[in-house]
Amino acid sequence: MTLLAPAFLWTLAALAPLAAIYFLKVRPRKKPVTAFFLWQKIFTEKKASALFKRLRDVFSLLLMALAFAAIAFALAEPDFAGDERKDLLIVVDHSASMSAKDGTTTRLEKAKQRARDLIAGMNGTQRAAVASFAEVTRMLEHPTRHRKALLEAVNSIQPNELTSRVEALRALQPGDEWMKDTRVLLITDGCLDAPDRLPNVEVLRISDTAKNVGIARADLRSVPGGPARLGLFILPVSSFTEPVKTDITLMHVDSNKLVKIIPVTLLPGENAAVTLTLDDAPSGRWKAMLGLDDALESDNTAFLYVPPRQPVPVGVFADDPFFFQNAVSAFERSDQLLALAEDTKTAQLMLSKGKVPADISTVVFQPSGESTIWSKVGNEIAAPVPKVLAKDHPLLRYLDAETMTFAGARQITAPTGAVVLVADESGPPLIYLMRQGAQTVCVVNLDPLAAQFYLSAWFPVLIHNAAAHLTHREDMPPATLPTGSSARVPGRADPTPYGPMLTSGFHETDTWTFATSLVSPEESLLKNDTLKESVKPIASGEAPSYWLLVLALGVLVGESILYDRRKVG
Amino acid sequence: MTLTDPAFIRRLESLYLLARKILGGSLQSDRRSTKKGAGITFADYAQYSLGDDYRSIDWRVYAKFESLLIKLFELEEDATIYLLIDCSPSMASKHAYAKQLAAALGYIALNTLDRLAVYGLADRLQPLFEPSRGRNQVIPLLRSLEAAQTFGGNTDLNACAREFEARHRRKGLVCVISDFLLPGGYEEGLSRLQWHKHEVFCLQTLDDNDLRCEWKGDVTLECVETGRSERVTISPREAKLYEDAMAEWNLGLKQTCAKRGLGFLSTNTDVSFESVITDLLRRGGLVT
Repeated sequence: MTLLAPAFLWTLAALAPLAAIYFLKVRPRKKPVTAFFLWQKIFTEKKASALFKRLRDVFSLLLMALAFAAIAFALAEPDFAGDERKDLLIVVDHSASMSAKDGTTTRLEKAKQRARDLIAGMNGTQRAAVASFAEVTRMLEHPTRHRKALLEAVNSIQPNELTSRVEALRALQPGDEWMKDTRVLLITDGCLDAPDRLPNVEVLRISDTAKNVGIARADLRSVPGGPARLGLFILPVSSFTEPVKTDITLMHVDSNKLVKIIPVTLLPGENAAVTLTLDDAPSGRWKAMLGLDDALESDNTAFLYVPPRQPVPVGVFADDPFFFQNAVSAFERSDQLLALAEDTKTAQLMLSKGKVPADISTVVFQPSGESTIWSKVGNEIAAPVPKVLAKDHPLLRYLDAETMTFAGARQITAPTGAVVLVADESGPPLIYLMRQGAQTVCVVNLDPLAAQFYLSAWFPVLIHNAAAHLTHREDMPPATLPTGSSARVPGRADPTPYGPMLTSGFHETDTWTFATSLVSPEESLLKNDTLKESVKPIASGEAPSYWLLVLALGVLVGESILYDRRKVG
Repeated sequence: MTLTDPAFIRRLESLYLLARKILGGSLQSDRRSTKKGAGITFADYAQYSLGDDYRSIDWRVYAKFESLLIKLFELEEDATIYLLIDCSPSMASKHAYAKQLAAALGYIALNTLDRLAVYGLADRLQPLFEPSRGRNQVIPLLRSLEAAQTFGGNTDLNACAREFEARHRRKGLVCVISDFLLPGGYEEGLSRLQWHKHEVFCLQTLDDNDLRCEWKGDVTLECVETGRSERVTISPREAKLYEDAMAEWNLGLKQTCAKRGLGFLSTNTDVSFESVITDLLRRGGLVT
């Protein structure tokens, strides 16, 4: 035990005069009585024990001395915890796993109570801040000594369905002068995405013994083999210590139709994936549910969205359309991204050779003639050496452009504003993008016949990438996104992502539906033994001074009840 | 107000006039007696037996029934009144009141030409007023009462009764004026007085301090008679126990008097002494 303000112990010296005053002032008065023998009879029947009788007269003094000593010790601020009394940054994990039931309450409530105890344990000189942590870290109360504000900040923390992201804690790291002498306390259940990468924080763990099953991964998408064929993928996890039997119920939400019930036996830990092919399955909104009453409900349901099959109508504008048409037909058969347009008016994308149609996104090979998309079509480049300028551009995905043959490439100049992806070593662009209003043109500066590009493996790759990019479908969202995600709306030119989507379920935009679910093995397994609790002492709960004052008050009240009536006479 | 104060004497005179009205007599033989003897007021008939005064045979009855009956008359005699005033320290707060009562009774007795003697009671008997008769003894009586002080220790009624008996063989009315808070008990002393054919009347005088315990807390109780003390804590519970014990003690005294045929009247110092005396006379308490 250490005393934070030992000077106050000198107040104990006042006990001596207190005792003297007591003995001088508190003297029973003499009362002459006529019927002494009656009083004797009464007090003989009510004989107190010898010890109590001896102590009785000084008991009041002892009680008052005890109360006085308790107050003196309270002023001296005894500290049993051995806490360094640094300032605190209390970070409360309120990720999805913290919503797990734990007895009659939830982990989050336990964590909040722990935070309240820490706040109660602060001494007068300490400051504290409160932050919440899940996918992002939010400061709820900046460093202050104002306990009420801190408690209000703790009380304001609400459960959510987001996953915990350790990286978000880095936002709390130094930079701020206050943080240098501050203990960062993370109150968590340990269900973190990367506990080994935790920054310099002290972990205060909440119990993680809850039994839970959950869907850690889920997917539902079109698979080849039929126009309405869907493949289902479910990865269940279990934190039960023994195998549990349950059902996975698959439901088509739009028609409110129960499609499939899949009995499963879940083993402890991560289970083998449940895969299934559904024939004649409609697109739209789906739901997969685990039917088990467990600690965490939010991970028992995976919301899935299968977009309707809407291939991009592609028109071909070339002297030799055969290879273009075949390429489109091939993709129509496989992932149904593209389909041949009946006429150029209905086409949303053109595959062209030489010319650029007006007002429609186009992939144009072998540029020739006059166009606003290029200028100065000159002589053929002798032995062009391609050099990739934008390596990670989606249009070049899976494409090794530097191995391509750009035979028949011309000396052209890309207009201002064009994005050159691949260029010849001598400078002329070989592949570039040019945006004009709603129209985007991808110029591929080569002669397909001379380069034998139709027979190259890169031909369908380039067609597919270009088609997806020009129609803004290169990043098709998965059937379900983790809660808290943001995603670009497919088919929309505006690159601003939609979101974040903080709750699990379906999120509708004007052209697309996103499905979000708590798909996180870390949150669902609800247990992490690798994360060790901090062993550094920390004061928690009401300070000893508080209890000493309560004791002093109690003793004074007791003394008053027991003895004041004796003094009133 | 002292006992010899003219105002007080006027009050006694008023009380005496009232007593006369109640007693219905004058001068000698004013006091009616329960005894039968040679008086003028017819009381009863009785069978004639050998030795009876044949002058009291009712010849008319004999002529009618041929049975010898004698007429009995109420005995009208001058009585001896003994006033025993408790002068122990426990009576300190009630001593003046007790003396007023004694003065009133003595005044009436002397004015009705009864023989009066007054003694102080404590651990021993102390004469306060020697046996006397006549109205001219009123002032000496009042003076002696006025001069009387508390004395001694615990009241020992038995010892006092013994000493009283040694002093007076003549039967009379013994009026004991005391709080009867006697640690040694009162039964034996009263029995002794009664055994010697005295008419005994107990006039209990108490005050509120005797009856109730108004103070609570830590106190040192000190016996006013012996000086013994004890440090105690008095809570409402103890106060209630004391009041109950006091009530039980007084009830015991009352029951003892009733059982033994003794006169009894309990009074409080709050009640005026005239009221007490009037009440006492109306109840025939002083009939010997």
